[in-house]
Amino acid sequence: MPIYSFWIYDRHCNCIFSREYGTGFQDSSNSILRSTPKLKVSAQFTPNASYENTSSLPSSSQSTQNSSISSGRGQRLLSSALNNQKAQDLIQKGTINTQNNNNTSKLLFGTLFSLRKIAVSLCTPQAETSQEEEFNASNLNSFNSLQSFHTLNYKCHYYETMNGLRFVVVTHPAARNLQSSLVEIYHSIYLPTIVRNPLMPVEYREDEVISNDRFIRAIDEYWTSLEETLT
Amino acid sequence: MLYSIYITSRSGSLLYQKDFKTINSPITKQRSNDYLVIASTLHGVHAIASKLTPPDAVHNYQKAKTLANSNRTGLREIATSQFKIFMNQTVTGIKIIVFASPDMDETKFAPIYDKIYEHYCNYVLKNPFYQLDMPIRCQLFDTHLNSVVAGCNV
Repeated sequence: MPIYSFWIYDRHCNCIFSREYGTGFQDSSNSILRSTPKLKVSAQFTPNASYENTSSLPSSSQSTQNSSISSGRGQRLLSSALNNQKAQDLIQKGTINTQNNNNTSKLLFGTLFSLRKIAVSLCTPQAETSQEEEFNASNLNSFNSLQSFHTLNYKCHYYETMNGLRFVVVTHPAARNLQSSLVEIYHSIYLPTIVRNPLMPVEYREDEVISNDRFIRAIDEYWTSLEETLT
Repeated sequence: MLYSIYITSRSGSLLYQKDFKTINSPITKQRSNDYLVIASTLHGVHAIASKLTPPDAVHNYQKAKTLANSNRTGLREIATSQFKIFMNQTVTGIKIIVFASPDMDETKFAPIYDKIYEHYCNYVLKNPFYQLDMPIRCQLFDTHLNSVVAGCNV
């Protein structure tokens, strides 16, 4: 059950984190496909590139985090406890935050948004007064929630927190229901490293992404620790 | 348990829609316009979902154990906490969309879909008064569909 990508959208519908994984399978067509994203990663993590990034975003917290990544990433992968070759492949062949504003990210969000709307509207009773309508429209009183959708090629799992934060993971279609994993990521990774981190912004501006090193490492470790992602 | 069945034409317009009366059905009655919106949204999302396929996953459908008919890359199943939506496409592009209870899965659903499609062929397409791409109003189709649904809702 390979894992393909992991996404987080904030309540303003911006993609604040995207992580693409290499599948860990060595075949010739695969390596050609992967060659471009690989270059992007190395470009993104050179100190110059991170400097350019921050010049467009005048935020001090961002710049410190970016530089800590650029220096720390190489050592991290070497000293990482994950000595499993497949896990390494999965992490190294992927890309981080290179897809946040491209068509894939927007189409994925659009798909989930309309499916969620269908799911909720079909289970919401007809409102007769405006008060009822207001009650039904509130995020806290949703009568139904979207869990996943799949085609024969991939499966997409979805979890939405009460304040509109959306976690999405794309896997092989044979995967079990991974919603519990998304809940766990929210509780045990997102809350301690992002919400309780005073250096992270509360609201993300456009083009602002999560580039917190500890967060990325924890996410990678979580997905590679699931046994089925490596088989 | 089957909750409702939609049939859309290949351009996404709603040809047939029926909610079945079942105990504890989570699906509430909608305005007639809403059904059109839901059907055409599902039609669009079906196409978008095939565009979203990750480059590494393009050939997964060849190894899939379920029957692909002509819906190889498009959306097949949507799971929500209250119900599941199954989408199947015929070779001519007609989509049969079924809303079922969450305990339904693809293997259980396949024979039901076959029966629905069979009745569609027999009582809609072979009806000399039915015009293609027009809403389906065939009494025989209704009664046979009801018997299919009654058979699996028991």
